[in-house]
Amino acid sequence: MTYDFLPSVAAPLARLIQEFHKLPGIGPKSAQRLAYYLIRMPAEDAASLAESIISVKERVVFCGVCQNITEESPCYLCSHAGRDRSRICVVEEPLDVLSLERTQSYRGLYHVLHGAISPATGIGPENLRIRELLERLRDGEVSEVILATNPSLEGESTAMYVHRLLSPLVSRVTRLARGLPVGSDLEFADSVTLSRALEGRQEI
Amino acid sequence: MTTQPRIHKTEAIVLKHLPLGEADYLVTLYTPNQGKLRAVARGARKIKSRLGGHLEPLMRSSLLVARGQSLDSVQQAEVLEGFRAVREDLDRLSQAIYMAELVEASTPEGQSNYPIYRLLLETLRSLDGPAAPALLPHFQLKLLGHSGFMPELHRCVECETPLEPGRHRFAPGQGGCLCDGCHPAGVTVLPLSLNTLKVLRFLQRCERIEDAVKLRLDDETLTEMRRLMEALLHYVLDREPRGSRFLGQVSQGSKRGAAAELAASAAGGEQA
Repeated sequence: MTYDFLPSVAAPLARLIQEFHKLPGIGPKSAQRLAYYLIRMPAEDAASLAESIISVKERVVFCGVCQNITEESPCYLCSHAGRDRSRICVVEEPLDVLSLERTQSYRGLYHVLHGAISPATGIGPENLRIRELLERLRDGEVSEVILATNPSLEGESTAMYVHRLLSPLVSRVTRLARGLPVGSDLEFADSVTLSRALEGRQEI
Repeated sequence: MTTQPRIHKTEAIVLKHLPLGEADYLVTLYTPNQGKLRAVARGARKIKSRLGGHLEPLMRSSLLVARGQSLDSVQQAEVLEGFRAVREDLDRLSQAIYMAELVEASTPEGQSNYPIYRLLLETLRSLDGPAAPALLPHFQLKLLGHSGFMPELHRCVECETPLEPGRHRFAPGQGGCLCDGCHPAGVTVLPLSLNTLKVLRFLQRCERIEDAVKLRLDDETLTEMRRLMEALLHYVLDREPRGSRFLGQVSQGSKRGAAAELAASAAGGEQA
């Protein structure tokens, strides 16, 4: 989208609109609205936004150990003394680490694959950070790997593929349990989830 | 002009899903009476979604679909068959994903083709049972047949004389076999052993999937048949199916064993 045909739009503004338009989920109208909003914003707020965009690109790196997004490598979690170094929890995305940390019931380390195997969109094992995970298991310090990929077709394929590679290296490879989400309705559960929930039932 | 009802019921096999927006999926379905359909499953990626678990790829589900302005949307869904054994085994899963992709790639939207639906369903059911090496080539051949691309296995595609036993060659671009005497210029040919030709002919006339499941094949025939079918599909689809790469990675891994796979992946790391 270019604003060459509309010379009445100031060039810097047109450029800003085009930049917003590149973001996911931002259409031409939203891009215009955001750009005009920024013009009315106090100068220091706008400067802070611009500065934060620059610093996120300059200062954020991938952790050399767990591949999570971090400011310094190794990241906070990987270098934390209180973490259990014998466990690694494997997740698809950095946001999954946040979700698991929110539970406050896991004290081990993480490994972020940055995606899941998805033949439909052409993402194969070679596009994921699986090799880095295998490297971490070389020294034999890790006694359990927890596969916490999504319970979707892509996540399951990834978990099974990774499991096949890991099983000779680690004594224990586990998968997150599948069952019924809190606050849901049995009536709407699918048969695969429900049969797994039955198998994983526990004494109360 | 007849107006179609706004909401209709259908059963479908889910071929694939793609994330859409914040929490939706765009699902591609294969239905018995309307062929391939695409529809939005709103909120299906949320953990408490009433749709999500019923619309995973390779499930056969009963659906309520509402027609929309541009895209249909799935209102209700309930799993009829989940094919759990397929889902929990990497070798079978990679095959099933590949098969779903072939159906997705070779069929036009909204055009009914019941034989393809039945083929996919019966193949998934067989895949859910004991291992059967001929299942994949059977599926590939029949799918090509139901799409109008059944290869010619009895006559030479150049001179149309019936094939005599001998050294045959297969020309994917011409859609069939060549006899000893024909050497058309500029045509890709693949070797075709007598044994493979016999197996292909058997699969071609095979009416019931049970007969294909019973077939025992040696590795050599299987490899040759895989190469022929892939070449033919590549020609028909005009691209290599993405799933075939993953299929190769998985079957290679299981043959070589995980230790070898690790060594290969570590070696790859040093090269990279």
